[in-house]
Amino acid sequence: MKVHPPKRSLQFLRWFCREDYLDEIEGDLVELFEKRSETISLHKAKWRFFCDVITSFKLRNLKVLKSTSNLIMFQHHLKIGSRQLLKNKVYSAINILGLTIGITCCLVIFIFIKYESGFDNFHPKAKETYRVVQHTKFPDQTLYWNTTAYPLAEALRNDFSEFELITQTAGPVNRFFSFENNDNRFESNYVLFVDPYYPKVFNLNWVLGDPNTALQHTNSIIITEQIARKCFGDQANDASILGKTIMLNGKDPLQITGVVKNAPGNSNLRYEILVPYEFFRQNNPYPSANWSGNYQGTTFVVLPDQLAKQDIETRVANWKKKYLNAEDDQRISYLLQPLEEIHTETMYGSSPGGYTMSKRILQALAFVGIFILLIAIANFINLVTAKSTARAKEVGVRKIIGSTWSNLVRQFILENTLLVFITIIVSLGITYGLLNQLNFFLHTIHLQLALQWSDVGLVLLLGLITILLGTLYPALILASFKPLQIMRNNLSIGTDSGFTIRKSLTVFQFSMMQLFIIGAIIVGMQMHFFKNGELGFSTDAVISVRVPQFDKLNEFKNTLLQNKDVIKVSFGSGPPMAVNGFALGTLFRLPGQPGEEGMEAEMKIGDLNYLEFYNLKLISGKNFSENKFEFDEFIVNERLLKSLGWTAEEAIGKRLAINEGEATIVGVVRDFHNNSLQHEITPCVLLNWNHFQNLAFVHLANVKPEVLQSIEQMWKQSFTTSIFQYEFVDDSIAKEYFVETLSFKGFTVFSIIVALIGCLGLFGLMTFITSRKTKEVGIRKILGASAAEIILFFSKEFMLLILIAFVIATPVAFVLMRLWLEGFTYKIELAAWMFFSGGIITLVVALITSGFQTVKAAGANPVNSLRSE
Amino acid sequence: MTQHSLGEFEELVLLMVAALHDEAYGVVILEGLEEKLKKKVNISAVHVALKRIEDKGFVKSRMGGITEDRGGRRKKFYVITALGKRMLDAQYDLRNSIYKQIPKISFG
Repeated sequence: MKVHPPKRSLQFLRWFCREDYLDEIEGDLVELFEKRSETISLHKAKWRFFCDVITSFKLRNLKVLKSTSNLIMFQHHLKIGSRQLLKNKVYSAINILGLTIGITCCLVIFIFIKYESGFDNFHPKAKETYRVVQHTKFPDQTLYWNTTAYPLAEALRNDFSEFELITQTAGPVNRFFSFENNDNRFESNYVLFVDPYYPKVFNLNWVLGDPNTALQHTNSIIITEQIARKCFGDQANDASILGKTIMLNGKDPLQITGVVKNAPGNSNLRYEILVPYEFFRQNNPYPSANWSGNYQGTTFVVLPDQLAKQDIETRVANWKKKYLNAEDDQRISYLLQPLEEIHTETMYGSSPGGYTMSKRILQALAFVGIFILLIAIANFINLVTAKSTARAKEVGVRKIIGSTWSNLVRQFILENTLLVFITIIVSLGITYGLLNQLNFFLHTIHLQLALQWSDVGLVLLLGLITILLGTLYPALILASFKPLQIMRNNLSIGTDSGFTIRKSLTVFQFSMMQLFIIGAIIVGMQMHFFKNGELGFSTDAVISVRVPQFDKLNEFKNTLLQNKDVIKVSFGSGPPMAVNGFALGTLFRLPGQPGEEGMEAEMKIGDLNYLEFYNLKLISGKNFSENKFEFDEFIVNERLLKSLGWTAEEAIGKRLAINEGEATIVGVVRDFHNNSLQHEITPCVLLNWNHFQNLAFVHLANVKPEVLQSIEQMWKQSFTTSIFQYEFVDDSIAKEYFVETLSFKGFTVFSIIVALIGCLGLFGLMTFITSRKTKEVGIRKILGASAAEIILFFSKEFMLLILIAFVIATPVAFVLMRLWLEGFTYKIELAAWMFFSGGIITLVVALITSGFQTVKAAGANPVNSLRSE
Repeated sequence: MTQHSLGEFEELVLLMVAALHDEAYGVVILEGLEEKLKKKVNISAVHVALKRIEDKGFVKSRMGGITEDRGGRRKKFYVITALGKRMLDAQYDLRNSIYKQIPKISFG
């Protein structure tokens, strides 16, 4: 078979290599490649070919440099350019560093945004796929669900022919598995039940097994490579694992019918294990046939005709009464949400294991990226301009010898290109490392950022823009130089217009710097408020442990309490604040009131210790008297009473109905944050029920690994099914602020970066200004100026600029931050000090940065500066 | 015009061109050098050396015919010139004469 050298390398060679050399070079390279491919592997031969092309990229072989005079000038400029860089090491380092930070930031942000906005777009029918979402209207609020009743998919399939495909999933849920013998156990949080249509709608990347038949039998199981490796080690990719049996929850044998690649990071559909939906239906006959209430079913439809969307939604609105009871039919409406909007729409929340990233955050991030880049470019222009005026004499000599304007411009372009080129190489390297770090730190959200070729293209584009902008101004200035004036030393360095541009660039930098610092302060205060805010309950050193067998609870509790490291134990459905997207919902109303007047409430189950355990304060009434299988006592929160218009005292002894049954209110608890602080406190009912007590809360005296291990031992004594799993309640609550924490960290990092670039620019500028004004300083000192006056003389100018920047930044910051805070129900008050500290920090940082140069200038001996003329 | 100098690698390439007489082009020169030197040589280094000694007038070149191989590219054959041969002779003589001055006594 004839082998072909790699196309791209060849294209590159043909692009740069001069025509008359091409026969020889390309011919030799191809011949070598052909010979090598017979002795070493094709891959290696291609690599060697690539290396040869790169090493052939020599000045001598370049197309553009064919004419000798061009080549000589090019070499000359290159030499002068690199000498300039080496001669002014500080200047070059500052310039490269500033620009590198800017370009790297911009690139990382760009890659992140591209990743976040490309969720699930890799499925073959991504553009035609919709998720069915449900809006439920209550008298006092509307709830938005990303899940729907299970039978919906089947009903749509029967009654609507417009849909090309409809698929139903349940979960992802947590299940535990065992294989071979009962000792090999593992647990998965992402067990997804899917019907046979699922692989037709979504791309699963099959490694083993047949996509068409894998989900046909009820007792099948499809595992991801990760699970396969966990179970079978080295044999994970071997076809022999097909047909092996995995036990679900220790009782249901499932046969492996397929292995798929791990769910990609940029997908909202999390799965580790896929089990046929039919299996779920047979094991959960009641919910899977029930239209009322909300269950964890997700329905996806494929609608090829995009225009039909509205029409279908209207028809579904009229059709649903066929299945829903009258009450639900009034409340519930079904809508179609495009698959590609799922990730950036926060209204419906995220499905378990996933997360949403609002468009607003991405937009804000894009602005941050653009501004950081602009600041870096402004910096670059400032420094290059400053430098170019200092080289006026060189320009004068060049002009006298006969250099044209275009020659000069070419020289500056080349020098800037050299700078930018170094910057790009460094940026790409840093970005690569940074992305790996980011992926590592954010592995909880399965972040998988990667540098792609298109990103390199973007960097080159950014570089080109920087070169053009950085060259434009010096080129214009230099063109206007009169060589004779320069030589007679009459040049007024930095004409007025130049200083205005430079000043406005500096003001821009300082405004940005203050804006970011003010932003970081305010976001930080809000985060502090989140983490230390009065939640209405305490969770210090509390872990939650899943308890699978109800009959063993007391035994477990007694063993726990014998341990001196355990202070208190309580059982319940969840901690006071709903975490991990888990809350039991119900509707409450007065007994005898019709069902459709019910209002949404959260239902919590706790044992007799629950209130005391979490320090929840009763404001009237008493605690439960006992836990029962038929609950008969309620403790409600103040918010619920507000909906009913009762006072805490008159509520005691009243009867209240919820979906699950009727009971007497025995106590009223002070409002606590049963939802994270982004959301309002909602009505909440606590029940003395024995069902749903599937978490044990353990308050530890001290948090040490040994204590956790001994708890695990105790757990294993009491429970034989499932797997020991614990979580600190503090951590689960902190997870609710994941996006806020991330934006706070982002803000902090970005403001440091902006400040850093600003400082670098200021430092470079001060170096330049002090060296230009050495003589003036000398004269001032001779006439009696003190060192302090000299420092003030230099600082005065940029202090004024900072003041102007402050006037610009404050209102912008105020408007933006108020907009941001509007998203939170519980928020801090904006105070004047937050804004002033932004200005003061900028001023201090600027003073320190410029201090190095000004103090040096002020301390210099005037004799030295005035002696030489 | 001053007399051109000849770098070490350029000299090796020139020797190889002379040795391969009329059959010398990039790949065979490379292979010859690799065989004699017992180490990897970079093709682009050979190309540059060939260009340099051609500029200096030690070799002259002609293009071969088009064949199926090499992606349809022609070979560029190099032949040593009289000047090149004189240069090699001079180098050889120079080295030889200095070599002969090594006192035998030094190495017992």
